[in-house]
This record gives sequence, C-alpha cells and structure tokens, in this order.
Amino acid sequence: MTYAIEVSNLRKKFNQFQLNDISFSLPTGTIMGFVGENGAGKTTTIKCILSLLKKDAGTIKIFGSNIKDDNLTIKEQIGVVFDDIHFPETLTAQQINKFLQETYVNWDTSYYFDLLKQLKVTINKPIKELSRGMKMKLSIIIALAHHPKLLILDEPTSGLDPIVRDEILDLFLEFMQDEKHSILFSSHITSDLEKIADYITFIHEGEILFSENKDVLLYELGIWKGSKEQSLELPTNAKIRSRESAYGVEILVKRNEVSSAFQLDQPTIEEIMLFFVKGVRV
Amino acid sequence: MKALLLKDFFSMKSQIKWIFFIVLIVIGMSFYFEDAMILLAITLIFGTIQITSIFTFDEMSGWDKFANTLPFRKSEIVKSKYILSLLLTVGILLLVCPFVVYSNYVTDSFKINELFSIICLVVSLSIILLSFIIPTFIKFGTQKARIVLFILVFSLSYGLKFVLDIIALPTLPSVETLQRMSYVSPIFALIILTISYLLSVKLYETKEF
Repeated sequence: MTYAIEVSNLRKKFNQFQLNDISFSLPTGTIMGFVGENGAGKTTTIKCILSLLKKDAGTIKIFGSNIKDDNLTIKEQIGVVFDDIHFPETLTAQQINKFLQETYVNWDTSYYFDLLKQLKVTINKPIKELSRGMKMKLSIIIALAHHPKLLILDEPTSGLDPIVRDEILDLFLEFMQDEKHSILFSSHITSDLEKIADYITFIHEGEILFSENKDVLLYELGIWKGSKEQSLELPTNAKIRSRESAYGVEILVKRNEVSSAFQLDQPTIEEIMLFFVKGVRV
Repeated sequence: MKALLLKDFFSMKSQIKWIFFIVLIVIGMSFYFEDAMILLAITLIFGTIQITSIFTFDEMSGWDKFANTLPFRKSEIVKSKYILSLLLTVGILLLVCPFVVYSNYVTDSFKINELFSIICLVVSLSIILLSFIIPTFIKFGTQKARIVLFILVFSLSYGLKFVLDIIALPTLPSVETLQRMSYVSPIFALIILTISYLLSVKLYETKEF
C-alpha cells in the first residue's frame, strides 16, 4: 500500500497548546476525514504538513518524500483549500487564472473555466463582491485546476449552505474517480465526512484519539442505551466509552463483543466524537 | 517570478489611477513653484512606498499563507517584492524625468550635471528607503512596521548627525567631490539593497504562517 501522507510522532509546541506525537497515514486513493472540535489541532497539523509551521519533532512525508527535500515538485501535485480564499480581494477569477497559468506547470485553463461555468462562479467580479459560497467554490476550483494528486482541505465547507456543500462534495467525489488521487479533509461538519470519507482521524487536545476506517467505526461500533443497572449485563471488554444522559446511560460498544440480545443503535461520527470527548473510559 | 509580479500588479490595479493622479498634481506643483526637484523627490519616494500597500493587501487577505502552498521558493516570494519596488521606482523616474528636465529648462534652476547628480541622489535615497521598508514589513507586519520604520529613520538621521558633529569635519568636501560622490551613490544604494534582500530572505524563511 502506498501513502499520500504519512505523519509520525509530529510535535509542535506553542505557549498554551501543543501537538503531541501525532501519527496517521492517508492511503493513496482514499479520503480521510480529519475531525475534532475547534482548537483541537486540525489546522496546526495541516499547517505542519504544508510546512507553514515548523515542526518541533517527528516526520512528515508526502508521496513518500519529506516535503522539504523536494518542495516545489511536491507542491505542484498538491491542491490546498483553507476556510477562506487567500487572494487579495481586488482580484477577479479571470486575473487569478492569469496568475496561476504562470504558477503551475500543469495549469489547465479550459478546465478552470469549465468548472467556473459548471459551478456558476462569476468571472469578472472582484473577490470582495463574491458571496462566501462563491469564494469557497472558487477556492476549490483553484485547487483542482492544475490536476493535483492530493487535496488538502482545511474546513472547506464551514459556513456554507447545504446546497453549496453538496455541490462541493460532488466535486471531490469526481476528483476521486482517479485511484491515484487522495484527499485529507479537515472538518467539524461530520455529516459531510460520513458522505465521502473512507477513513476518519480524530484529534482531541492535540492528540490523535483514533485513526480508523469509517466503515469499521460505523458498522463495528454500536450505541447501547439503558439504565446503569442494565449496563452491568454488558460484557466489560465490549465497552469503549460511556456517557450519562437524562434517561440513563449510553455506552459505545464493540458490536462483535455484544450478544445480539442487546439492541444497539448505529452511531454517527458525531456521536462517536462526543463519546470520546465527553464520555468516560469504561 | 512573473506570476508573483502579475498578482501584485493586479492587486495594485485599482490604485494605479490614483498614483497617476498624484503624479499629475505634483507635476503641476513643480511648475507652479518653479521647482523641478519637488517633482522628482516626491514622486520617487511616493513610488517607493507603494510597496507598503502591497504588504497591506497581502496581510489583509492572508496571502502569504496561501502563497507558501504554491510552487514558489521563499526567496522568490521575497525577490518579487524587491523587483516590483524597483520597477515602480524606475517607472516613475522614466515618467517624471522629461517633466523634470523640461521644468528645469523653463526655470533654469540647475546645470545639467547638477541635475544629474540630484537625480542620482534621489534615486539612491529611494533605494535605501526601500532597503529598510521591505525587511521591516516582513519582520513586523504592516501595523508594527510603520512605527518601527519611523523609529529607525528617526534614530538613523539623528545618529548620523551626532556622528558628524563628533567628527566635526574641518572643511566640507568641495562641490566637485560631492558631485562625484553623488554619481556613485546608486552603487552604494544597490549594495545596501542586496544586503537588505539577503536579510529579508532570512527573515521570511524563519516566519511561520
């Protein structure tokens, strides 16, 4: 198996926050949802991957190479989307095309304009006059039009309405038609990730709590609900995390460790996140 | 490099008409006051400080964060700022020079060799100013840089005056010597600019975005 991104034992310390031994790998041809609450360390990790921040320790490889060894070649093959478009606001989509034509070897002008047309992004208006949805669509088109192999997305759908988010997710799925393409997708809109992600990596207070196949998470885990007394009947080795609720207790369990006599609900990624953040180890 | 210059040019596009407008006003002033040097000094220094607007646009949009994900070397990003500033300086010089020469011809203020030495000095001053502006803006960002720059220029001016007072030259150099010094001043300024560029690259490389 090849990996688009390999992060191991990444550390980065700030005054009041630190990334602590972050490790995960994004297999080529897959989408990884990178989730966590605000301030958990998602953006810091992404910035370290992109060398926007200098790591204190650990290794980061993109396409098997350390990003510093072959910086420009690797950057030619990456498309990056942040939570806002970071071009001066007086520029238009037309001018951005001229700039990027001179920037990327593989810049595809006709594909760029096709995507602008497909997503109905105005070409001649300055960025400052575009709506947030338009800006984000433009940002994603910019990331796609040089035919990258890897997309690194930091909250690209936050603050967007469901229609625009759906259009954007469709673009990502279209991008993934090529099996050599991969996406690292940071978001706290877990429903987006449930639609498209193959893997979920969950970061909390600067530490990775799990990095797992999405189907394993959704289909091999279950939520049991009942009273505290009833919960004692559950096998101890099946219990992962528990939370108290108004109606008793909810326990995240491993399905294969629990008898079919127990009724289990299928968890969402959001619920799993909540169990890991708010719940207690059982 | 061409890409980065294009982006800066596009960012400045809305300002270009204002630059021309101000240059025209100063041209008018120079004829009214019969002083060609006002035109030369104000427009050149005005052109030089335009780079601060580019830094402001970049900072407001978070440009550097994005630019560093694109296939550019950090030195290339820094170099583009120097080249843009030099292009602005040379562009404005070429634009106003005919007016300066004509205004000087009408007012008969300076001989041609005196005029040339003044042009050399003003161009050198612009380049030296630029050499301070760019690393200061890279290091401190647009808000703090203006204050730091003010303190820097203020301390350097008074520091220089203080040193000259201590040295207390018995006689001033002759006009011919001063003129010869002014002819080589752009070379001196370019050396400072090169040192400034190397410093800016170092500062930019240590920055986090």
